[in-house]
Order: sequence, then structure tokens, then C-alpha cells
Amino acid sequence: MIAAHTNGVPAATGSAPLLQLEEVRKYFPVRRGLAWWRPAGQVKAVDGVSLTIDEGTTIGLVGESGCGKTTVAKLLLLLETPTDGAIRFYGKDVRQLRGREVQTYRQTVQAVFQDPFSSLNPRMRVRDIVAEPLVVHTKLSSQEVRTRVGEVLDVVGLSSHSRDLFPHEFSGGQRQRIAIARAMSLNPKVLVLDEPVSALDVSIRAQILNLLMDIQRQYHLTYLLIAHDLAIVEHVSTLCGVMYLGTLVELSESRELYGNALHPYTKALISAVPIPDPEANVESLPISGEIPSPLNPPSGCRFHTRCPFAMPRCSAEIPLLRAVQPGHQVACHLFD
Amino acid sequence: MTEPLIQIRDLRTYLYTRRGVVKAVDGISFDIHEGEIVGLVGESGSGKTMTSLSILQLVPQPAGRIVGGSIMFEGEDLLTLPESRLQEIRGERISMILQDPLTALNPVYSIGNQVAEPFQFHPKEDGRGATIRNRVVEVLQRVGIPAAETRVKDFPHQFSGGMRQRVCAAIAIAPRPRLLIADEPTTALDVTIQAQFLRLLKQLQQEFNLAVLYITHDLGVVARLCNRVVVMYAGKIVETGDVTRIYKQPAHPYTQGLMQSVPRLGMKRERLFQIQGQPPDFLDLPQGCPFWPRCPQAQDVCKVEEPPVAAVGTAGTVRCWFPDLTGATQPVSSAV
Repeated sequence: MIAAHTNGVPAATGSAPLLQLEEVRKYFPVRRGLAWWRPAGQVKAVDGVSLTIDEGTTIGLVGESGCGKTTVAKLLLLLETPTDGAIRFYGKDVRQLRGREVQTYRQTVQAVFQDPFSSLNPRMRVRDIVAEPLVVHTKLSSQEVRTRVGEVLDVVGLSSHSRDLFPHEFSGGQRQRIAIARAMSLNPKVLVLDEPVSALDVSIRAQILNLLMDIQRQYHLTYLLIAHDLAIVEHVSTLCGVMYLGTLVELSESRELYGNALHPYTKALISAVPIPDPEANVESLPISGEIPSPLNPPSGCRFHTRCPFAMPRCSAEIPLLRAVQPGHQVACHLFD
Repeated sequence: MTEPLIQIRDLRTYLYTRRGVVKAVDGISFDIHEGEIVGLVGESGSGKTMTSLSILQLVPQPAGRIVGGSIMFEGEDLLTLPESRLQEIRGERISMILQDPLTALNPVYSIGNQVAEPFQFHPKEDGRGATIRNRVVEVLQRVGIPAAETRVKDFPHQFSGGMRQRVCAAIAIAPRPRLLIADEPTTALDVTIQAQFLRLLKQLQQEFNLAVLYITHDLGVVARLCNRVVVMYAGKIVETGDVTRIYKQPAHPYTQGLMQSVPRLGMKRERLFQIQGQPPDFLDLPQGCPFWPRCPQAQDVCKVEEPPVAAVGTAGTVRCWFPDLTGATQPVSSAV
């Protein structure tokens, strides 16, 4: 492996966790009508999310579209700056990173996106796609770059003759392998995986999930896995968070979460997933209605408009995420 | 058993492209009985959508052409009917729900206008404005659109994804068809909304004794909804059968692989079973069984000769040289 970031990791301050989100908020202004410069409101995409990501773990984030999971990913990749709160990298606020440190951060935290048909430049050859991060971030000679590209293509299981081909010559699963190779080229510590298999065929998903789990073990990677498929998140992640309208409603070890979900939304989400077994019990806790607009989220607990157990208190008071059992946190008044 | 509602025999739909002939649907045969939900499962590009388009004869022209076979529906062969008769059948006897409710609806017409269309095209009783309006409201209420009387004036963009799909369902069931083709209707929806839509579909199906051809790649949805399953691979049917039998004792190696490669909630395993290799290239299909390059049980004969069709379980078939016939009968016919 190359020494791409030995200069990198900021003096690890004691036992500070790899990445930490503290009450992170991201509001997007909404402009409307003629006065386009004057914000008409705010979409509270992420509203007070706290999360600690330890080295070598996989944190899964699940939730329906519009719950803010992709915004969390973008914040971690420094593609968006938080409106409020802090993201700490080994204890240091990422907004205080300067110049070289930002580069180091970007080398350490890489991404794999959902759609391998649009995340790869159709006019570049595979070798150039995979080499691009190396050219941007390192001073490796062209010979070293070539060697490294060969190494990572080997890691993701692509033959060396594929380096001269263009993305359109590959199937979806192989394209996703190219995207993983590109993310791995800088020898990162963290991979942000935003729906990495949802664009792939069922028979290919298992291949990519197995590959991701293999390289995680081999290179001691840390994953933030964003997906709407709960079964996939359960299978891959150690810790799993459930998001609803920009807030984290439940966070627990993933096995515990599926066996012993506490939050009514988590229960509803789990029971809504069709089980591939015709004799399985059908949903026991259906929820009605749809996700309210994040432009004007409900007061108090954001789920109270759809919750079968809503009490008067739920519409008035925002429930806080608190531990109800060791390692199992839930934000719900039912457990106060 | 009574006469099936629709009998598809040896249907062949080819696409003539610049690079060669794509045998998108290559000699498939199956039946759908009245009041039955048949799941058509397969990967993208396996010919599922081409099958449904062939039934309605909406295969994209001029590239696509139905080159052989027959589709018997209510005593008529759809493939020999003149266009005028087909127009009477489309929408009235056989209707369709498409994958993406955003593009399936016309953005410049109100919902009421679009739901009224089938009543205008297929006038059954009274075609006067007020009557049509009442029936539009009635059918919108039936699919669970709240405040249907006022919402008929709204446009598609004023509805959420789940509500739009309900509108599409309303258009499809308005003329009381006998057969409903649903082409991945919930792929664009979130799981909780999907659960609501599936429940609605099941209710409608029972109420009107509809036959449904449900196209999907989601094995969970099939298990929840369908009575029978048809599995396609590379334009051919590889297995058909009762849903319980297909899930408990899949006979074809491809079906077995699909069933094992899906992560299931609450059944965490170390590694997922994976089907090796990539989906087939239609322009370069292997000789013999199209699945052999990915099949763990492939023998020499699979690489040369097309496999025969054997009977499995009750009214099931499997196209394989070496099917897993646990508790099944002997082969019935040679290659079709």
C-alpha cells in the first residue's frame, strides 16, 4: 500500500472518536416567487443529529426519502456545511480544518454513490477514473499511479484488462466495483456508502455487499451506510440509526434494533418491509398517511401525526434521544 | 380447473437493433386465471416489461416486433386482432399501472380529467358530464384519495408519489377491467407507502375479482401479494409455480440463488450467498442454457443443448437439465 496519508491523520488526540456529529443541523433556505433573494422558509433537512462513528464499525442510517440521510452523508463529505452543530474528526471540528488538513480529510473520507451509471465519467477510461483521486491528492509518479490502480482493481475483483475500457462497457455491478476502486485508491479510513446497491439487480447486490464486507475486514475500514432497505442495513451494519424528518428517532446495535425495536416508527418501518416468505405474518402495525413536509414539520415529536400511540404531550414536547437500555437509544415519550 | 383468462403460448418478441437481434421474449408460455395474482420476476433486461407490452401490443416500434406465438384472451387471439378491436380491449378489458407515477400522468391535465378519460373512451352507460364526474369522484374515493370531490381539480404535481400511484390505480380500475398489469408499481415508493399501496391493490383485486400480472424484482412483494410466480431469465421462463413451493423448494438453480442471496430481516448471516458472474448480454447469449455460465451445477450438456421443461409440484414447470425436483414428478416434455 502506498503512503498516501501517513502525513495525514491529525495528531490523534487521545481516544477521540474517528468521527463525531454533535447536534448537527442543516437548513436549506427556500426561495419563492418574485422576491427570490428573500427566503420564504427553511427545509430542515437535518435537525439536531448526534452520532459517534468509531473506527472499524459500520453505522447504518435508514429512513424514507426526504428524512435527511443523504444530507448527513453530504455533510460528512464536506459537500455541505452544517447550519449549526459540529462534525468532529478525531476531536477536531472540520470547519477549523485548513488547507492541507482539508485535503487529508477528503483522502480519509471517500464516497460511493447510488447510481454507477451517473457517478462515472462516460468519457474517461477506467484507469483514469480510478487514478483521478491519486493525481489530485498525491505526488505519485505515473508508474506508481499505474501500480496502485492495478492494486485496487485487483482488490475489487476486476481483471487488469478492464483498465483500458470505458464505463459503458460494464454492467451495473461491475461499474459499482469501479466506483469502489476509485474510493479505495487513496487508502481511506472511512467510506460513505449512499445506497450502494439499490440501483443493482438482485443477483448482483449480494456480490457487492460481500465485497464491501470483505474489504472492510481486510483494510479495517469504517462505513457509513445509507440505505432504505432495512434488511441490507441489518446485514451489514454494527450500529443502526433510524431517521424521520431530519431527526434520529432510534439508534441501537442493529441486531437489537430488529429484534427489539422500540420507537413506533421503527416498528412500522420494519413491519412494512415485505418478507420474502409467503407464509410470513403480514404487517401487524401499519401506519397511515405520508411523511409531512419538512418545510413545516409537525410540532413536538415529528412522528405524532402518524403515530398510533400519540398522546397530547407528543404534539407539544420534542422527545430527546435517550438511552433506555445500554446501547439502545430512542426518542419517544412512551419510554420517558 | 376452469379455462384461464389469458393464455400466452410460445410468445416471441424480438428487438431489431443496429447491433443485432435481441430476443427479449423468446418463446414463453403461461396462463393467468381469473382472480389470480401472478408475479413475474426477473432482473432488469430479462424480458418482463417486454412481455407485458406484448400483451397490450405496445412494443416500441419500429425496433420491436412480435414474431410469433399467441395470446388468447376471452376467446380471441390478441395478436391477430385489428387495431380498432385492440383499442377497445386496452384500458377496458386489460389495463396497466406503470412504474413511475410521476411520468405516467400528464402534468398539464387535472386529475379529474385524466381519470375521466377511460369513461369517455369506453362509454358503458351514460356518457354525460355530470355522471362521469360522479363516477370519477367515486373511483378516486375507492382508491383512498382524501377529499376526492375537491381534489379532482388538482394537478399531478400537487399530489405526493403515493397519492399519484393511487390516481394511476384509479385510472386503471375505472372501466372495471378483467386483467390488470402492474409493472413495478411500487419501485418509486417508500416502504410504508408501498405497504399501503399493496394493501389497496389486494383489496381492489378481491373486490373486482381481478386477475393481476404483477411485474417486480422484489421477492418480498411477490411473497406478500402473489398466488403464483413466473421467473424469467434472458427472455425465457426458467421456472413457474405456486408461490409457497417456489419459496420453499425452488427447483431451478437461478431461482435457488435468488432466494438465498436476499438478506432477510432478523436472519443475519456472516456472508450472503452470491450468484456468480454478470447478467447476460442479449446480443451474445451463450449456447445451450443461458444461465450455465453462472450456474453452480452446470454440466457439459448445459453448454450445448437447450434444457427441457419439466413439471414440478402442482402446475409448476422448470426449464433445466438438472432441476432440484424434491417432491416433484418426472419430466413431461422436451424443449419447447
